[in-house]
Amino acid sequence: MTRNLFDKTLLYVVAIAVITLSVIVLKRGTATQEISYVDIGKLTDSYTFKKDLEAMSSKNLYGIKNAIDSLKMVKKMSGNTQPRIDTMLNHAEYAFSQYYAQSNKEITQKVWDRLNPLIEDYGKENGLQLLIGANGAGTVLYGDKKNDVTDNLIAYINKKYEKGN
Amino acid sequence: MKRATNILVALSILCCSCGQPGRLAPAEYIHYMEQDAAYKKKVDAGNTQYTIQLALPGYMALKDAYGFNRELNADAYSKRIKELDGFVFFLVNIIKAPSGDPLKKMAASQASTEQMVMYYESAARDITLKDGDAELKPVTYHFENNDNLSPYNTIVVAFPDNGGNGKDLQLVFNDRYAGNPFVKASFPKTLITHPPTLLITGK
Repeated sequence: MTRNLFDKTLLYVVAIAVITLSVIVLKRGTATQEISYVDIGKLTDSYTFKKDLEAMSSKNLYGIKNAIDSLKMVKKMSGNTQPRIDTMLNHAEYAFSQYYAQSNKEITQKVWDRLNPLIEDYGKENGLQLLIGANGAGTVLYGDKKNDVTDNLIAYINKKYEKGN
Repeated sequence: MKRATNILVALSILCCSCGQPGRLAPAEYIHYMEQDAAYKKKVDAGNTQYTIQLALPGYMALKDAYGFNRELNADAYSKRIKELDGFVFFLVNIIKAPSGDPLKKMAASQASTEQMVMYYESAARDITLKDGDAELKPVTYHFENNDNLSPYNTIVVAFPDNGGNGKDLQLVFNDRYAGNPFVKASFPKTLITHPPTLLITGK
Protein backbone atom coordinates (compact mmCIF):
# COMPACT_ATOMS: atom_id res chain seq x y z
CA MET A 1 0.00 0.00 0.00
CA THR A 2 2.77 2.42 1.06
CA ARG A 3 4.94 1.32 -1.86
CA ASN A 4 2.03 1.92 -4.22
CA LEU A 5 1.54 5.44 -2.87
CA PHE A 6 5.25 6.18 -3.20
CA ASP A 7 5.28 5.00 -6.84
CA LYS A 8 2.25 7.15 -7.62
CA THR A 9 3.79 10.25 -6.03
CA LEU A 10 7.07 9.65 -7.84
CA LEU A 11 5.20 9.32 -11.12
CA TYR A 12 3.42 12.65 -10.54
CA VAL A 13 6.66 14.42 -9.61
CA VAL A 14 8.46 13.09 -12.71
CA ALA A 15 5.51 14.00 -14.94
CA ILE A 16 5.39 17.56 -13.57
CA ALA A 17 9.16 17.93 -13.98
CA VAL A 18 9.02 16.71 -17.60
CA ILE A 19 6.13 19.06 -18.44
CA THR A 20 7.87 22.05 -16.82
CA LEU A 21 11.12 21.33 -18.67
CA SER A 22 9.28 20.93 -21.98
CA VAL A 23 7.50 24.26 -21.50
CA ILE A 24 10.80 26.02 -20.71
CA VAL A 25 12.55 24.50 -23.74
CA LEU A 26 9.63 25.29 -26.04
CA LYS A 27 9.40 28.84 -24.73
CA ARG A 28 13.10 29.45 -25.27
CA GLY A 29 12.92 27.97 -28.73
CA THR A 30 10.01 30.13 -29.89
CA ALA A 31 10.53 33.40 -27.99
CA THR A 32 14.18 33.95 -28.72
CA GLN A 33 14.78 34.60 -32.36
CA GLU A 34 18.32 35.82 -32.43
CA ILE A 35 18.59 37.44 -35.86
CA SER A 36 15.75 39.16 -37.67
CA TYR A 37 15.42 41.69 -40.42
CA VAL A 38 13.15 44.60 -41.25
CA ASP A 39 12.16 46.25 -44.54
CA ILE A 40 13.14 49.83 -43.68
CA GLY A 41 11.17 51.45 -46.51
CA LYS A 42 7.97 49.70 -45.50
CA LEU A 43 8.66 50.43 -41.83
CA THR A 44 9.08 54.20 -42.24
CA ASP A 45 6.26 54.53 -44.79
CA SER A 46 3.86 52.75 -42.45
CA TYR A 47 4.83 54.78 -39.40
CA THR A 48 1.82 56.94 -38.47
CA PHE A 49 4.11 59.64 -37.08
CA LYS A 50 5.70 60.08 -40.51
CA LYS A 51 2.29 60.24 -42.16
CA ASP A 52 1.18 62.93 -39.66
CA LEU A 53 4.36 64.94 -40.26
CA GLU A 54 3.92 64.71 -44.03
CA ALA A 55 0.30 65.83 -43.75
CA MET A 56 1.38 68.84 -41.68
CA SER A 57 4.17 69.69 -44.13
CA SER A 58 1.81 69.32 -47.11
CA LYS A 59 -0.49 72.00 -45.70
CA ASN A 60 2.38 74.51 -45.74
CA LEU A 61 3.50 73.37 -49.17
CA TYR A 62 -0.03 73.84 -50.53
CA GLY A 63 0.02 77.37 -49.12
CA ILE A 64 3.18 78.24 -51.08
CA LYS A 65 1.88 76.39 -54.16
CA ASN A 66 -1.33 78.46 -54.06
CA ALA A 67 0.74 81.65 -53.91
CA ILE A 68 2.75 80.49 -56.95
CA ASP A 69 -0.44 79.68 -58.89
CA SER A 70 -1.90 83.09 -58.02
CA LEU A 71 1.25 84.87 -59.19
CA LYS A 72 1.21 82.89 -62.43
CA MET A 73 -2.39 83.93 -62.97
CA VAL A 74 -1.57 87.60 -62.31
CA LYS A 75 1.37 87.38 -64.69
CA LYS A 76 -0.81 85.91 -67.40
CA MET A 77 -3.52 88.53 -66.92
CA SER A 78 -1.03 91.39 -66.99
CA GLY A 79 0.34 90.16 -70.30
CA ASN A 80 3.76 89.07 -69.03
CA THR A 81 4.95 92.68 -68.91
CA GLN A 82 5.70 93.21 -65.21
CA PRO A 83 9.24 92.22 -64.13
CA ARG A 84 8.26 92.65 -60.48
CA ILE A 85 5.83 89.75 -60.74
CA ASP A 86 8.59 87.63 -62.30
CA THR A 87 10.83 88.36 -59.31
CA MET A 88 8.05 87.48 -56.86
CA LEU A 89 7.31 84.30 -58.77
CA ASN A 90 10.98 83.29 -58.71
CA HIS A 91 11.11 83.93 -54.96
CA ALA A 92 7.98 81.87 -54.36
CA GLU A 93 9.25 78.97 -56.48
CA TYR A 94 12.60 79.09 -54.67
CA ALA A 95 10.79 79.11 -51.29
CA PHE A 96 8.75 76.11 -52.40
CA SER A 97 11.79 74.05 -53.39
CA GLN A 98 13.69 75.09 -50.25
CA TYR A 99 10.79 74.29 -47.95
CA TYR A 100 10.24 70.96 -49.68
CA ALA A 101 13.91 69.92 -49.30
CA GLN A 102 14.13 71.21 -45.71
CA SER A 103 10.91 69.58 -44.56
CA ASN A 104 11.90 66.24 -46.10
CA LYS A 105 15.21 66.39 -44.26
CA GLU A 106 13.51 67.31 -40.97
CA ILE A 107 10.86 64.60 -41.33
CA THR A 108 13.54 61.95 -41.87
CA GLN A 109 15.48 63.21 -38.84
CA LYS A 110 12.43 63.34 -36.58
CA VAL A 111 11.22 59.92 -37.69
CA TRP A 112 14.58 58.31 -36.88
CA ASP A 113 14.81 60.22 -33.57
CA ARG A 114 11.60 58.48 -32.54
CA LEU A 115 12.28 55.14 -34.22
CA ASN A 116 15.74 54.41 -32.81
CA PRO A 117 14.75 54.07 -29.13
CA LEU A 118 11.59 52.16 -30.09
CA ILE A 119 13.54 49.68 -32.21
CA GLU A 120 15.95 49.20 -29.33
CA ASP A 121 13.05 48.51 -26.95
CA TYR A 122 11.50 46.10 -29.45
CA GLY A 123 14.77 44.21 -29.81
CA LYS A 124 15.21 43.91 -26.06
CA GLU A 125 11.59 42.89 -25.41
CA ASN A 126 11.78 40.19 -28.07
CA GLY A 127 15.19 38.85 -27.10
CA LEU A 128 16.82 39.75 -30.41
CA GLN A 129 20.59 39.65 -30.75
CA LEU A 130 20.64 41.44 -34.08
CA LEU A 131 18.06 43.32 -36.14
CA ILE A 132 19.11 44.02 -39.72
CA GLY A 133 17.62 46.80 -41.81
CA ALA A 134 16.89 45.71 -45.37
CA ASN A 135 16.62 48.69 -47.67
CA GLY A 136 16.76 47.08 -51.10
CA ALA A 137 20.37 48.18 -51.61
CA GLY A 138 21.95 44.86 -50.82
CA THR A 139 22.28 44.94 -47.05
CA VAL A 140 20.21 41.75 -46.94
CA LEU A 141 20.68 39.51 -49.97
CA TYR A 142 18.43 36.77 -48.71
CA GLY A 143 16.25 36.32 -45.68
CA ASP A 144 13.82 33.60 -44.79
CA LYS A 145 10.32 35.07 -44.40
CA LYS A 146 10.09 33.71 -40.86
CA ASN A 147 12.88 36.11 -39.84
CA ASP A 148 11.05 39.12 -41.32
CA VAL A 149 9.63 41.09 -38.37
CA THR A 150 8.59 44.17 -40.36
CA ASP A 151 4.86 43.82 -39.73
CA ASN A 152 5.34 43.12 -36.02
CA LEU A 153 7.63 46.12 -35.66
CA ILE A 154 5.19 48.38 -37.55
CA ALA A 155 2.38 47.36 -35.19
CA TYR A 156 4.70 47.95 -32.22
CA ILE A 157 5.90 51.44 -33.24
CA ASN A 158 2.42 52.64 -34.19
CA LYS A 159 0.97 51.45 -30.91
CA LYS A 160 3.75 53.21 -28.99
CA TYR A 161 3.22 56.37 -31.04
CA GLU A 162 -0.47 56.56 -30.21
CA LYS A 163 -0.26 55.42 -26.59
CA GLY A 164 3.23 56.36 -25.38
CA ASN A 165 5.69 53.99 -23.76
CA MET B 1 -17.19 19.25 -1.58
CA LYS B 2 -17.24 21.97 1.04
CA ARG B 3 -13.46 22.05 1.06
CA ALA B 4 -13.31 22.37 -2.72
CA THR B 5 -15.80 25.26 -2.59
CA ASN B 6 -13.70 27.02 0.05
CA ILE B 7 -10.58 26.64 -2.09
CA LEU B 8 -12.43 27.97 -5.15
CA VAL B 9 -13.70 30.99 -3.21
CA ALA B 10 -10.20 31.70 -1.85
CA LEU B 11 -8.72 31.41 -5.36
CA SER B 12 -11.39 33.73 -6.80
CA ILE B 13 -10.65 36.36 -4.15
CA LEU B 14 -6.92 36.01 -4.83
CA CYS B 15 -7.43 36.36 -8.60
CA CYS B 16 -9.74 39.36 -8.22
CA SER B 17 -7.27 41.14 -5.96
CA CYS B 18 -4.37 40.63 -8.38
CA GLY B 19 -3.43 43.87 -10.18
CA GLN B 20 -5.69 46.03 -7.99
CA PRO B 21 -3.84 48.43 -5.74
CA GLY B 22 -6.65 48.27 -3.17
CA ARG B 23 -6.74 50.83 -0.36
CA LEU B 24 -3.69 53.03 -0.11
CA ALA B 25 -2.39 55.41 2.53
CA PRO B 26 -1.57 58.94 1.21
CA ALA B 27 2.16 58.33 0.75
CA GLU B 28 1.48 55.00 -0.93
CA TYR B 29 -1.15 56.63 -3.14
CA ILE B 30 1.31 59.29 -4.34
CA HIS B 31 4.00 56.67 -4.88
CA TYR B 32 1.59 54.46 -6.82
CA MET B 33 0.47 57.33 -9.08
CA GLU B 34 4.06 58.31 -9.77
CA GLN B 35 5.41 54.83 -10.39
CA ASP B 36 2.61 52.91 -12.08
CA ALA B 37 3.25 52.63 -15.81
CA ALA B 38 -0.46 52.98 -16.57
CA TYR B 39 -0.51 56.52 -15.15
CA LYS B 40 2.85 57.57 -16.58
CA LYS B 41 3.82 57.41 -20.24
CA LYS B 42 7.12 58.25 -21.88
CA VAL B 43 7.88 59.57 -25.33
CA ASP B 44 11.49 59.65 -26.47
CA ALA B 45 11.99 62.20 -29.26
CA GLY B 46 15.73 62.22 -29.80
CA ASN B 47 17.22 65.06 -27.76
CA THR B 48 14.09 65.51 -25.66
CA GLN B 49 12.23 63.09 -23.45
CA TYR B 50 8.66 63.67 -22.39
CA THR B 51 7.03 62.00 -19.42
CA ILE B 52 3.28 62.51 -19.31
CA GLN B 53 1.56 61.64 -16.05
CA LEU B 54 -2.17 61.39 -15.61
CA ALA B 55 -2.83 63.10 -12.28
CA LEU B 56 -6.22 62.62 -10.67
CA PRO B 57 -7.67 65.33 -8.39
CA GLY B 58 -6.87 63.11 -5.37
CA TYR B 59 -3.18 63.08 -6.28
CA MET B 60 -3.04 66.84 -6.91
CA ALA B 61 -4.88 67.60 -3.66
CA LEU B 62 -2.57 65.29 -1.71
CA LYS B 63 0.53 66.97 -3.14
CA ASP B 64 -0.90 70.34 -2.07
CA ALA B 65 -1.97 69.15 1.38
CA TYR B 66 1.39 67.66 2.31
CA GLY B 67 3.39 70.10 4.40
CA PHE B 68 7.17 70.48 4.50
CA ASN B 69 7.13 68.24 7.58
CA ARG B 70 5.70 65.45 5.38
CA GLU B 71 2.49 65.39 7.39
CA LEU B 72 -0.85 65.44 5.70
CA ASN B 73 -3.30 68.18 6.59
CA ALA B 74 -6.62 66.38 6.18
CA ASP B 75 -8.67 69.62 6.30
CA ALA B 76 -6.57 71.18 3.57
CA TYR B 77 -6.96 68.00 1.55
CA SER B 78 -10.78 67.99 1.88
CA LYS B 79 -10.94 71.65 0.84
CA ARG B 80 -8.61 71.17 -2.12
CA ILE B 81 -10.28 68.02 -3.42
CA LYS B 82 -13.59 69.88 -3.61
CA GLU B 83 -11.94 72.60 -5.69
CA LEU B 84 -10.27 70.16 -8.06
CA ASP B 85 -13.14 67.73 -8.46
CA GLY B 86 -14.47 67.47 -12.02
CA PHE B 87 -11.10 68.03 -13.67
CA VAL B 88 -8.41 65.76 -14.97
CA PHE B 89 -4.78 66.87 -14.80
CA PHE B 90 -1.69 65.99 -16.78
CA LEU B 91 1.90 66.69 -15.78
CA VAL B 92 4.13 66.97 -18.81
CA ASN B 93 7.77 66.62 -17.86
CA ILE B 94 10.22 67.86 -20.48
CA ILE B 95 13.75 66.54 -20.14
CA LYS B 96 16.38 67.87 -22.51
CA ALA B 97 19.61 66.05 -23.17
CA PRO B 98 22.37 67.70 -21.10
CA SER B 99 24.78 69.93 -22.98
CA GLY B 100 27.44 71.86 -21.07
CA ASP B 101 27.00 73.93 -17.92
CA PRO B 102 23.26 74.50 -17.59
CA LEU B 103 23.51 77.75 -15.61
CA LYS B 104 25.93 79.36 -18.06
CA LYS B 105 23.93 78.07 -20.94
CA MET B 106 20.76 79.50 -19.50
CA ALA B 107 22.30 82.92 -18.94
CA ALA B 108 23.92 83.11 -22.33
CA SER B 109 21.40 81.56 -24.56
CA GLN B 110 18.86 83.80 -26.17
CA ALA B 111 17.18 80.66 -27.41
CA SER B 112 16.56 79.48 -23.87
CA THR B 113 14.87 82.75 -23.03
CA GLU B 114 12.64 82.50 -26.07
CA GLN B 115 11.84 78.95 -25.11
CA MET B 116 10.76 79.99 -21.63
CA VAL B 117 8.57 82.76 -23.05
CA MET B 118 7.03 80.32 -25.46
CA TYR B 119 6.34 77.72 -22.78
CA TYR B 120 4.99 80.39 -20.42
CA GLU B 121 2.72 82.10 -22.89
CA SER B 122 1.69 80.04 -25.85
CA ALA B 123 2.30 76.32 -25.35
CA ALA B 124 -1.21 75.93 -23.92
CA ARG B 125 -2.56 76.36 -27.44
CA ASP B 126 -0.52 73.39 -28.58
CA ILE B 127 -1.92 70.92 -26.07
CA THR B 128 -5.18 69.12 -26.69
CA LEU B 129 -6.99 66.22 -25.09
CA LYS B 130 -8.89 63.80 -27.30
CA ASP B 131 -11.77 62.40 -25.30
CA GLY B 132 -13.61 60.10 -27.69
CA ASP B 133 -14.70 62.34 -30.58
CA ALA B 134 -14.23 65.54 -28.59
CA GLU B 135 -11.04 67.61 -28.72
CA LEU B 136 -10.66 69.58 -25.52
CA LYS B 137 -8.48 72.59 -24.83
CA PRO B 138 -6.90 73.12 -21.40
CA VAL B 139 -8.96 75.04 -18.86
CA THR B 140 -5.84 75.77 -16.88
CA TYR B 141 -2.16 75.75 -17.77
CA HIS B 142 0.92 76.27 -15.66
CA PHE B 143 4.57 76.07 -16.59
CA GLU B 144 6.99 75.26 -13.77
CA ASN B 145 10.33 76.71 -14.71
CA ASN B 146 13.18 75.11 -12.81
CA ASP B 147 15.70 77.65 -14.15
CA ASN B 148 17.82 74.77 -15.37
CA LEU B 149 18.63 73.86 -11.77
CA SER B 150 16.98 70.52 -12.34
CA PRO B 151 17.22 68.64 -15.60
CA TYR B 152 13.53 69.00 -16.39
CA ASN B 153 10.69 71.48 -16.60
CA THR B 154 7.07 70.62 -16.03
CA ILE B 155 3.85 71.76 -17.65
CA VAL B 156 0.66 71.23 -15.67
CA VAL B 157 -2.56 71.21 -17.67
CA ALA B 158 -6.13 70.51 -16.65
CA PHE B 159 -9.17 69.57 -18.69
CA PRO B 160 -12.80 69.09 -17.69
CA ASP B 161 -13.60 65.49 -16.84
CA ASN B 162 -16.40 64.54 -19.20
CA GLY B 163 -17.18 61.31 -17.41
CA GLY B 164 -16.91 57.82 -18.76
CA ASN B 165 -17.61 57.15 -22.43
CA GLY B 166 -15.46 54.03 -22.50
CA LYS B 167 -12.86 55.47 -24.87
CA ASP B 168 -9.25 56.26 -24.05
CA LEU B 169 -8.06 59.76 -23.28
CA GLN B 170 -5.24 60.89 -25.54
CA LEU B 171 -3.09 63.91 -24.75
CA VAL B 172 -1.42 65.46 -27.80
CA PHE B 173 1.34 68.03 -27.35
CA ASN B 174 2.79 69.84 -30.31
CA ASP B 175 6.05 71.11 -28.82
CA ARG B 176 6.86 73.80 -31.35
CA TYR B 177 9.89 75.12 -29.57
CA ALA B 178 11.73 71.82 -29.29
CA GLY B 179 10.50 70.96 -32.78
CA ASN B 180 8.71 67.83 -31.61
CA PRO B 181 5.17 67.67 -32.94
CA PHE B 182 2.69 64.92 -32.12
CA VAL B 183 3.89 63.92 -28.68
CA LYS B 184 1.05 61.58 -27.73
CA ALA B 185 0.07 59.57 -24.68
CA SER B 186 -3.09 57.53 -24.12
CA PHE B 187 -4.74 56.57 -20.88
CA PRO B 188 -7.72 54.23 -20.41
CA LYS B 189 -10.79 55.90 -18.90
CA THR B 190 -10.89 53.19 -16.23
CA LEU B 191 -7.91 54.85 -14.56
CA ILE B 192 -10.21 57.78 -13.79
CA THR B 193 -13.43 55.89 -13.17
CA HIS B 194 -11.80 53.22 -10.98
CA PRO B 195 -8.83 54.81 -9.21
CA PRO B 196 -7.23 53.17 -6.17
CA THR B 197 -9.01 53.93 -2.91
CA LEU B 198 -7.33 56.52 -0.73
CA LEU B 199 -7.32 56.10 3.05
CA ILE B 200 -7.17 59.40 4.90
CA THR B 201 -6.65 59.05 8.63
CA GLY B 202 -4.79 62.30 9.40
CA LYS B 203 -5.85 65.21 11.59
